[in-house]
Amino acid sequence: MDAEEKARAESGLFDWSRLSNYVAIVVLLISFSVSLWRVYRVQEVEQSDQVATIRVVHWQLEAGFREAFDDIARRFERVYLEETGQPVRVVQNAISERVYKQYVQTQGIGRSLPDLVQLGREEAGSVPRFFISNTEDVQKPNPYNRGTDLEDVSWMDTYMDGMVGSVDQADLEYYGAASSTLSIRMFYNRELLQAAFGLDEPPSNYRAFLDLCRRFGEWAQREGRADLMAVAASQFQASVFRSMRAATLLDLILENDRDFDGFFGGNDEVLLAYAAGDFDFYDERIRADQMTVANLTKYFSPGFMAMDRMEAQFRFTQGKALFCASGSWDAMSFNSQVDFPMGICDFPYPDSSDPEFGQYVRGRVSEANAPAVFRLAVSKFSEHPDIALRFLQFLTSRENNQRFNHLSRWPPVIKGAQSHPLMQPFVRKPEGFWSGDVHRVVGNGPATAAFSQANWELVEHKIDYDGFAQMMEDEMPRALAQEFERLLNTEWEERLAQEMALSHQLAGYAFGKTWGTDQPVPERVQSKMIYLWEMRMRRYRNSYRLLEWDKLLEEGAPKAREIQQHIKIDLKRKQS
Amino acid sequence: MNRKKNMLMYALPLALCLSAATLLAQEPPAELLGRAWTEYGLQAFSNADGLFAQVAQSERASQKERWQARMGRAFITHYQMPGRDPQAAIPQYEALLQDVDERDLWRGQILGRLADCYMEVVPAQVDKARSLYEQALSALPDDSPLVQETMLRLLSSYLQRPDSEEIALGLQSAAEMAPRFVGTLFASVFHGMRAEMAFFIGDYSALADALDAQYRAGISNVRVKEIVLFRLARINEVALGHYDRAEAYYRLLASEVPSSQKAHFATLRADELKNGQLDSDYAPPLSTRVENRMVKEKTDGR
Repeated sequence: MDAEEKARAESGLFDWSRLSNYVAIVVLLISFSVSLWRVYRVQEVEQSDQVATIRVVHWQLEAGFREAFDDIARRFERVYLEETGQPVRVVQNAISERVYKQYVQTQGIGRSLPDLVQLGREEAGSVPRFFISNTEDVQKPNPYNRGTDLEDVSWMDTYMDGMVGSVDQADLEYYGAASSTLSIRMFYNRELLQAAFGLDEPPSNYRAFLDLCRRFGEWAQREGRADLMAVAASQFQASVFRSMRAATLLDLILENDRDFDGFFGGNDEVLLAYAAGDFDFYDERIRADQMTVANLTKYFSPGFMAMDRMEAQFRFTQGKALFCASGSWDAMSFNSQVDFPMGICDFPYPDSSDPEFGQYVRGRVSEANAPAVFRLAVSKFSEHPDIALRFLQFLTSRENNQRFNHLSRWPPVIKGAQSHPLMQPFVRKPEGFWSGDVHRVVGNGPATAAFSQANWELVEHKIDYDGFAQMMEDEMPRALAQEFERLLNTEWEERLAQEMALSHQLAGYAFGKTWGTDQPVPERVQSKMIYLWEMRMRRYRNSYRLLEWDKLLEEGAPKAREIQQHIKIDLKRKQS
Repeated sequence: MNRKKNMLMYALPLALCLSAATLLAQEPPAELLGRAWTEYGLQAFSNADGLFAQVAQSERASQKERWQARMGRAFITHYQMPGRDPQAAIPQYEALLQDVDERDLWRGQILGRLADCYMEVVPAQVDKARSLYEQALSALPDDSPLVQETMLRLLSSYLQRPDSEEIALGLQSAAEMAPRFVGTLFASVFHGMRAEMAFFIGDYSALADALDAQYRAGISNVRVKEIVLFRLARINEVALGHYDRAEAYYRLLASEVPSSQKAHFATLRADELKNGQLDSDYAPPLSTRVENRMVKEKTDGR
């Protein structure tokens, strides 16, 4: 006992610091016991022999999503009990997106994946290893559509996209089923709009919208509201706002589309057209495409490219910005966080009457190919794969898909399912045209890096459009040379990778009958062979590219010669 | 002596029982092969190789099962990623070829894979590969779909070199093969391959003809169908000046692939063509192209 304690004991005073230690220990013990009890209860429920438990794992942490899923799960439990007399329990577990990929991989390797797993963040090629294919099932009607006009329609054809998003590219089988789709729109603060301009909705005209953003800054200044900004944005929103671009590149695309397939951008045609001098970055159509967004970023907060996505969204939900842009997945979160009337609208893209870009505008960009999302697949380690599949069919019947998406405030994916009113602005608009990445030949190559750098400078207004074009022109010969080398190599490698998949089908065709219980269905083997051949036919284009390249060099095309100077490998090595 | 005899009386049945139990505990070779090929399909090559090795060394396996296991191991050498090695697979296929001797399907399969190896080594030995494909075609039973599959591989060898004359030869060879593809599973792919050849040498008329045949033979992948129909519409409209055909293909695209991003454009353009509007409101003007084509035809003396 030290002198201080002795003195305290002699004085008869209570030691409060010791009491706080005891309180902390008691609190810790209670918390630990409660945690143990809860884990025990969950285990008890999951391991109960009386009740089959379907565990579902996903990464959707957005507001309202888990509640909507729970609602559908409870309905399924009731319906399943009525249908079979057997109780079932559906338990969901939402995991942060940051660790989701590792979770799926480690649980898959450990053979302990839950019954239903959201796909989209897994390692390439791991789907056939860890999940059960439902190719046969998607070709039959969904039993939960009985009594509707979809009663005799195959499950896959009840999807707006024909369920193409469920096909795994590794083995060409269907895995799982998606429940929603997505689109990107603009959110606005109706209260601020009303206060500043007396308007309920922002203008749908591009120029009027830009002018409104400008005037909002002036109004905020007059009102002494330096904390307000027209658009809450970060690097993420800057990319999201690219959805407001109109189809100004369509003529450029069709002019340079050498194989007539409608695509120009992210392919060899960019190299050939650029090297031939058929287009450059001073092209007015590319200027219109780039400046559509750059004109708007003047009204973003300074330094937005360094800002975090959540920080920008927080500014909007705190009522500090007039506009923000994001996807349908954020609508419910925004709606529950704001304490002002919020509106959602389509982007005010430039139209043909636009004084600067109008002559190049062919219309809006179509959303016909909006992807299906929240795809759940049945794991190979499920103890109840049939019930898990049945739950998927239940979730994606028209009635339940509508209900689920109504509750979660996501756009439905099944034909005829109606959206929640909040989602009405997100209904995809298939009418329109298309665009392309006219600055690159391959993905994530040096041309993309050059473009990102120049675009960054442009949207931050450190350079004007001519400066952007000059930066691109300076970088493209070297970047395209590297991308050409990479394209030739990638095409070769990808063809050989497909050859591996094809060799498996060839073995199945020749020997499948001798494989005991693993015997494949001969018709499926043959149809996969055809499918693989259809995919690989366009993988023989290297010789065409080299032929065209030789022609350009023979003609003495200046840009082709410039690009050729940066080529470091023997392009014809693998094609001789 | 008696003691030894007694011991033998007990030891022998025990040994027999143990051997029988070991044999029974082993998985049948057919099951092992099925598992091996499944692992191969999942690209788990070391698992697959271990299973193939078990069958190749198993006394319970039939001769054909052992061949199959050896073929599987050769496939792994040939195709595994990373580390694929067609050069090292050649002796494996050749050894197997000597053993299977005259059995048609086996011989045809192995010759086909051998030919693939010669196409994939750097530099490719195209002539050697073609000769092996020809031998494979002679070995394969006439009614096997592998005949058409091997013919496609033979045709693809004409796309290896950046040489217009060689590609034109391929197109000629395709014309000779055409009757053997009629009504077969690979008919659509065959016409697709012809289309690629025609495109490489800039023969738009042959390209349109081949794409049309590809579409009519049936395309299973909806994205491939989308591309084929759009190409047919654009070639007929822009390169050949067959506006009525272009309109028909645009309408087919809009009705058969409504999920296409190009469906809206296709409908608009079809309507314009129906109304005789050459210069589209949504695409680069056609009139200049038509003028250029007429000038070129005049100069060419056609």
